[in-house]
Amino acid sequence: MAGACDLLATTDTGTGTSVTFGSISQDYKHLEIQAVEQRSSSTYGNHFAIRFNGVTSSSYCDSYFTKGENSTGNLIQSNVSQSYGVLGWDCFAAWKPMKRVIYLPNYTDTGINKMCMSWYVWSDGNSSSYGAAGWSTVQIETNDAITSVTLYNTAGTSWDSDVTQFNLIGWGT
Amino acid sequence: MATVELIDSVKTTASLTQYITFDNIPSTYRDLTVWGQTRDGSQGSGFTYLTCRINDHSSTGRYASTIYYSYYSAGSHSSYRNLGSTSDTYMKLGRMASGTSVPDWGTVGGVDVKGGIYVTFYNYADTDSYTSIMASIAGNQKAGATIFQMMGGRSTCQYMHTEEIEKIEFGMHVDSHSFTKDSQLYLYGINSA
Repeated sequence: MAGACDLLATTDTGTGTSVTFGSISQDYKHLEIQAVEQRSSSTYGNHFAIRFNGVTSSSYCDSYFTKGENSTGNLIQSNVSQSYGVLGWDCFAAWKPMKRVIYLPNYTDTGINKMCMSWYVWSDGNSSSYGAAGWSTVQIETNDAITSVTLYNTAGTSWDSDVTQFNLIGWGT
Repeated sequence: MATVELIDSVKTTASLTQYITFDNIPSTYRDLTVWGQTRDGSQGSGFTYLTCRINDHSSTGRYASTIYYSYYSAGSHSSYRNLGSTSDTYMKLGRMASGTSVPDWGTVGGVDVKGGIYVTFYNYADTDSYTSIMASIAGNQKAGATIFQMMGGRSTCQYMHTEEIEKIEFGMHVDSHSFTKDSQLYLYGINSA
């Protein structure tokens, strides 16, 4: 029986570059994803991306804001026609964990679009090189209920399996 | 162990509804969290503020808000603002989805486009301190349109009174607009260990 707030799944990524929560229960109203992720090598220009229901057509819109990142200062990006949604930058440096929270309201509702909001933060220790926090918004233009969520980094950089973990939480009744 | 309970939920049925209100909120929780999706029913209005009033207070000196948001609108590239105020008669939670019959947003291609809402009221029943509020609000978007509007942002607010929160009225108090049909909000209560 669905509760008001339940941990639905925990995904260990191994050393891979993407994770998928599939066959998501339709017994809840909203989804929350909490993530701790860490890279095993430094790669610049990573985006952290999301896809719903495996859709790869240009039906995603996104907008995100990052504060920090040393010399880049404020950074805002947006796109209204792409094959995935960008949840902001991914941590550039290896062995520096970052944390994310993603909110996806009304994911089972078939009458409206699907929208998610996200927070993220990371720090490069005391090097003062790269540390940042930001938020992001992603929409997919679909009336379908969300049954799967895939999260990945666009640079294909591997995760550190000892630290990286994604938790899927359902809010319901 | 922390527990969560759904206190109430509202789905608007009229074509336009001015306020979505949660009243008689029990004081037995530590925090309140509101989830949902809504849209402003005014044609062509953009960057509408989603606001709330607490316990029917409509005077200044009760609400403080600071909003940061990014947006993309009508071909104009990205920008951002930070807007703070302590003199409003409502709390600004962020910029919300808007528009009804404008071709490039609102209901498009058979998809009813509404913005996302996630708001938490911390220690709302504590009568020794003010209540802090954090909000994530997302605006409406249209993929691939020549005129489009998208935004996302965060707001930090404070209800500057030590009374417990018993009533929350969500609306668009700045512009006196109304929510479209099927706007939805869910109120959860969260208890600590």
